[in-house]
Amino acid sequence: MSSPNLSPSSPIRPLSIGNIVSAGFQLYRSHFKQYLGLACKAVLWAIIPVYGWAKASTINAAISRLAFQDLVNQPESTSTARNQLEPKLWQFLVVQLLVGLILFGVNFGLSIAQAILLGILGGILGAESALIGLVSAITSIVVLVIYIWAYSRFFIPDVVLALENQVDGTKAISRSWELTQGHVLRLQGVVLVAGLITFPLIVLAIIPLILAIASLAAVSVTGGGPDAGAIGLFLISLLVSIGLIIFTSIVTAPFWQAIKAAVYYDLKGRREGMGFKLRDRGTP
Amino acid sequence: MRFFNRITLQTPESVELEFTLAGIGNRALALLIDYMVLLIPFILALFFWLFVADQVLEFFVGVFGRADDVDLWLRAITVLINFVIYEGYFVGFEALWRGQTPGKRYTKIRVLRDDGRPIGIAQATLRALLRPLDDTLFLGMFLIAFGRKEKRLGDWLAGTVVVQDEHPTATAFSTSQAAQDLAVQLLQLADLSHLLPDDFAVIREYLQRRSEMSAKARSEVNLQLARQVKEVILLEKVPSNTTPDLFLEAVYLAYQQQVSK
Repeated sequence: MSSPNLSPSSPIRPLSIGNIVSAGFQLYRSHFKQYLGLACKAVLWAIIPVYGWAKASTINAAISRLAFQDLVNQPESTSTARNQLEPKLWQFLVVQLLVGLILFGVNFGLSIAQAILLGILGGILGAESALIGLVSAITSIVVLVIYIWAYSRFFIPDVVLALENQVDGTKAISRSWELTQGHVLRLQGVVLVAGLITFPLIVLAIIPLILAIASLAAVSVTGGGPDAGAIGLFLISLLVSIGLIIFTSIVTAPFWQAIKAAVYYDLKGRREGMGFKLRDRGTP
Repeated sequence: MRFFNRITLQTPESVELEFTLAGIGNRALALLIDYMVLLIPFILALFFWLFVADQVLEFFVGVFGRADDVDLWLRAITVLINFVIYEGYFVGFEALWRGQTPGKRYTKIRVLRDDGRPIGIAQATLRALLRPLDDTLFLGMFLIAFGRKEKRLGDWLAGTVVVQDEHPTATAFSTSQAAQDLAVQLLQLADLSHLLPDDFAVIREYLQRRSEMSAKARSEVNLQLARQVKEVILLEKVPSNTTPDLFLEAVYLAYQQQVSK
């Protein structure tokens, strides 16, 4: 394999969807302070353009690296992991930009294709046809499915970059593509279940926002125009909600990085049979 | 693996049994599946009940000329039906299917009593009755995520735990006729007694999982394994026309025959 430090003593056992999520959560829980500290640093760096962004994605990838090394029983210290990734700093930015561009391109291309299709149909059937609505609904679902599929294929390039040697940004992206081949549905399951677990936090974060909008709407409906007090209350709830959303994203980011590490672990075991060898007998 | 919490249960006979707890991922996935399955009886019951309720209303209007409070009764019965379906699903499956609902079966987890025995109607009912409370504000999820024994309120009250099913499911794989022929040769040419059960387990696992591997990785892994095995069983020369996969299959079969002798 391309990385010398990936040599666990026994073959990696594939994990089920539920166990990938459980393992990710358990890793996060047992390294809470360490991972959260890194996530905080990443968010602070992300405020600074370009260099800060590269720094932030490197630090996030370091969380995945730490998690994976724990999974294969070769734990690393935070500083070791960060020193290992420091030379690849710009590559992490490359990965982030390229994956962002690819997904944007996929989305953009699909939307254009959909618009053209609907335009042609509209020309043939007339704009009032009920069929247009149906086709529009169906193509929207197809577009979403294709987009999610593409997203799954580019799920783990940063983890690859963080763990494999002699890999640059573009190579890491093609490795992610290669490793996820045939496992898109399982990845969907992982993302769905992990999303379900982070869902309560997100709900709690947006509750003030919903309350604020609702109260503003209520005031403007009954009183003609909102008064200063209502607007003040709205702004305060808005600020609280923004604060909570930032907090939630800091808290959930390490969980997702750990999940990615567990996904990489699982795919590595399944697709590459990592660690398959007979027990050493001590004789050459 | 230490990434899953383990628990030791003491049976009434004072035997200690160790289990791996189900984990938050499996429990969330199982619940998701169960709720999706539950949609089917809910929808069916809704259509059936709408039909029945319509008839009942017509009947009252026809006979008494009015149906004032009937509407309220029908609504109450609707709520009752939904409650029975919801509770019945979990109680029925968990009590009759040895602690498994369809979602739990798919994720290979099951409910046990705190003493390791299978759960009965009483435990299943308590768990199901507290389920709505556990779902409120995701209370149960937080308790499972952060508790040492991963118990939600229903589990605490019913005295149950949710554990992973430990029965390893053997994945079947096929071996070719050529491998069987080669196995017969190997029994004479090589000394299979040097192969330890551990080694055999690795070979078997490779054969089970090889179809999922990428072609490149597979050819790397099987070549490395075949070389190692060849050395271990003191085989001087591999018969011609033998691929590493064929060789490993043959070793697998030969080892089995040797053990069963």
